[in-house]
Amino acid sequence: MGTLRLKISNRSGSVRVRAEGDAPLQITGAKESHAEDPSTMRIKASSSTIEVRCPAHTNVSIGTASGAVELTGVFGAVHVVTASGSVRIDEAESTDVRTASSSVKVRHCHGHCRVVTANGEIAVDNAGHVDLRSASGQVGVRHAASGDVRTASGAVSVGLVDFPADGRLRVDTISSSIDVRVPRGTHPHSRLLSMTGHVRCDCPDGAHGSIELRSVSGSIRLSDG
Amino acid sequence: MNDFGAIVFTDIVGFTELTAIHGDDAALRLLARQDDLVQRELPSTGRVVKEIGDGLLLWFTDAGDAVTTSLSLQDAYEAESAKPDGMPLWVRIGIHWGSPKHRGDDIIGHDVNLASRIAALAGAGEVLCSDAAVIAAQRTGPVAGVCFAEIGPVVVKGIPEPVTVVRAERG
Repeated sequence: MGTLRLKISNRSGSVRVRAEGDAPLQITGAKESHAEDPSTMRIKASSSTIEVRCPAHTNVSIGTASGAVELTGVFGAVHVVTASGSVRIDEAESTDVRTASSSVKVRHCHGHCRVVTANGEIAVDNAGHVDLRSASGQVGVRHAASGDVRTASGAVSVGLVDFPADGRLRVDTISSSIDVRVPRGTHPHSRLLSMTGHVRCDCPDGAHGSIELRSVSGSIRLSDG
Repeated sequence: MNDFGAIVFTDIVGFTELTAIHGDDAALRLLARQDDLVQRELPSTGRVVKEIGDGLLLWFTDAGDAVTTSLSLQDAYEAESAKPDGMPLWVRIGIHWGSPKHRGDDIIGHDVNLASRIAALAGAGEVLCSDAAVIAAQRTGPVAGVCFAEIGPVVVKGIPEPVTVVRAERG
């Protein structure tokens, strides 16, 4: 049997999953649960809160309409699709989260952190690589090694730590501001372009990684420290 | 009789903001550019059903063609957006395989609605498919140069059972 995978759907209720150690699988609040194959468990409810306890590094795929999703502990690959439920993820190998209007908070994603939202706010504390799309929600990244961020009108703030010499960050917006900070003393090759907005670069151009910031009308600032 | 086919929705992200900043004439130019690129990429198995605001509804008789054309369109949109003087042409695309009702040249029904919901889940530059679209695309074997990654069960308003949605990408 491979790594456990949970497929959880809940129309309006919340989903809470805790992954820790070698915890045996425990499910409460589900209307239906069955093994789809030896390593995949499908869990369903319609309105009640689903609570699941599972081993660390479990892969989870969750779909809700309006229920909040809360993942506590250490997960493998995480996929979440929700219309309006808020999403909070403690720690995962990778994430793919899609929401219409709810906020998304990822505390630690070791690998690829993808979040797509229409107008929810995105907050990522730590990630290997961020791939973030927002129509109008704000985007905040505290630490990431590289990334690709795109918003129509949501302001973007990115802090890079340990930006590798071959690191790459690209941020595109239409009408919102972009604020990117690199580690003190880092001199990336930078390309900043705003058609009508104010552009300010406080760190010298160099060859340590590549940063490209583009906006149609929003202001752009690149700084170090 | 209803024909089965691939229903494709496209939607420009940020079109309202671009129109507000650059005006209606620029918006019309962007839509004209989108039209050009679609006409260039569209195979004989596909057609434009109609324009819906800044979006398009496309119909393909071959699901594999729908997927590969959608990815080619995203490549073309990205190349257009990357031009130094280019306006961002950020498009999300959703694909579903089904048998909608035909009303003249138009198509309507549950499957069209579902394709629209899938498109709404995609980010700018992405192509998302229902599992029905993926199965139809792979009916005679893998789609060359394309890989699919499941993103999980999606609870869709008005549909009792969760829909499995898959991300299509080059690979």
